[in-house]
Amino acid sequence: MLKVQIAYKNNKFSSLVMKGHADSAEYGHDLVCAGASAVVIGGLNNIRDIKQFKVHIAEGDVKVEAIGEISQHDEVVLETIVSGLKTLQEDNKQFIKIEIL
Amino acid sequence: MMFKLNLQLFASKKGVGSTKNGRDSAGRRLGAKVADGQWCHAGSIIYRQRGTRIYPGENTKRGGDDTIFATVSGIVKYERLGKDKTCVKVIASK
Repeated sequence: MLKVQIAYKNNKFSSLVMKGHADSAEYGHDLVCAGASAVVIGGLNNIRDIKQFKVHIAEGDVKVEAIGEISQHDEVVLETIVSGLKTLQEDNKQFIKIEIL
Repeated sequence: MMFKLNLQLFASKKGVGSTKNGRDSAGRRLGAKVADGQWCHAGSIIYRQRGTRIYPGENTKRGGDDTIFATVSGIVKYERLGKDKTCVKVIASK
């Protein structure tokens, strides 16, 4: 089960933590994992001011933390990531769990 | 691109291990070397085997590795031995 925790402060994005394995299939065929990876990594590559974030990406462990003022563009990008993960969760509740803090 | 995409970033590597099998020895090419009704020299090998699938009959002997070989030149004959056994013999002929 892939666990996603998204934290907000004053309605603004604060952090995104993703831990665990989707385990929807064996390595190399795990579609839920592929979807989640593509949504997150694709989104992060569209962030304009990466210096405002502390990003840690490892296997089964991704953490994105806002450390400065986030531009409106980057807020929209982060919301797109969150919405993509929620869409993925709709038909895969047994593989991915999203928690809004 | 800042971050490289690994599509299996959240996939578990459980069960993806290497197998300890995958070895086998070369085939020993056992079995009949002279067929029924064929002529053979004295001393030639008739049947390679492990254990006595085929028993030695007339004019044949069993070697140390259970190989059956002819002791005289002649025609090879495979026959039934008792209820469920087979033996091979050589009918001597020039």
